[in-house]
Amino acid sequence: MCGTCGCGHTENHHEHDHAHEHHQHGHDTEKRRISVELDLLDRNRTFAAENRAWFDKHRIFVLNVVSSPGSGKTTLLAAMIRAQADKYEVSVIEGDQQTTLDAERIAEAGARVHQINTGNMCHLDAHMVGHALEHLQPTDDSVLVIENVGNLICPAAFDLGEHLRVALISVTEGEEKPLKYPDMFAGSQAVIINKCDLLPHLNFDMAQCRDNIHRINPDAAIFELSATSGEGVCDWLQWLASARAKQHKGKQVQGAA
Amino acid sequence: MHEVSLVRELNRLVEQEAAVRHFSKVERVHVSLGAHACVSETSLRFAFESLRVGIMAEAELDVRMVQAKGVCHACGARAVMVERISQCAACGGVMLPQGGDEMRITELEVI
Repeated sequence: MCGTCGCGHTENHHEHDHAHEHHQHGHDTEKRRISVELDLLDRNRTFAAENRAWFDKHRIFVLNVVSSPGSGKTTLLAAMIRAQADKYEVSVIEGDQQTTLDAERIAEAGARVHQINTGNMCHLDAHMVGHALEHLQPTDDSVLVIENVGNLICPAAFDLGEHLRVALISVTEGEEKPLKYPDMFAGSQAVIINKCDLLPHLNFDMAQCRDNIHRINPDAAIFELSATSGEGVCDWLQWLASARAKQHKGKQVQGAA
Repeated sequence: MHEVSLVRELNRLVEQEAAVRHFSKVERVHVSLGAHACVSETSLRFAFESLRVGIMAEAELDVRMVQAKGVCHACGARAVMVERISQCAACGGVMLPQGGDEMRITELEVI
């Protein structure tokens, strides 16, 4: 409905009679207040839905991995790629502000990779991912991992079309991180606590960290592991395999506390 | 920081609306922001003032913050969530936000 005068039109605003109480000049110079319903994230949602439909059509299981810079996303990915090489193909979209360093590490681990340099952008959006897919062309029945820009705030607002969002924190970041950046943890089905091989050297309260995660997201599945030593990676991969199987059966993936 | 891309999208949406609703200048943009939208009002304002162009070049921004509602994960009780992390007043369960992440342009003052 037209917000100015309730005429029921959304366009052709000039056509109806405006003789009433108007000044000499026409509608074009008239100050008016119009109601609109414009969602700033609508465009991203549309692209995300297109991405998701494409993934589902090709039975590609997609993860969106988010964390602070330096939590170990790329190391974990490289470990996953090496461990899964004989089970399914993994391809990776790398999001970084600059450089192709992470993409090179992923390629070395044996996966196909496409790097997005976001420049002045602090997150990936669904539109960028759609274009990355044109370059990467992941194969049917594969797993695609989108490594988001290291940032615990902005990527939370942007659905990329993924099936699972995975948040990563390392024990060096402290157990309060989930409380400080709740939105990212609230929207993630799985939370990985990485660099557990460093625990003997740190004052990190694991029970408190798990409790903090569950205070924000009671259903989050939590995994303690070290991407460097490989400890705990197996449990994570098993959970991931069952999440992938559920997704292919058309079930919503749920965390398993 | 993504307030910059939000303002670019805001510019784009308003330009589109201008073509449909026939206006050539925007004096004020009214935006409704959810309390959990991951957007800082200060940053949004800064980005808006830095990036407004074309028909928006002289526009002012009016931001209305919208409180988030929540539902208890344990007992299903509903309440307004004043704090992002809060417990259910009835049973102490974790309150999960329902919505509160909206970022919408609701009104335009135009010529």
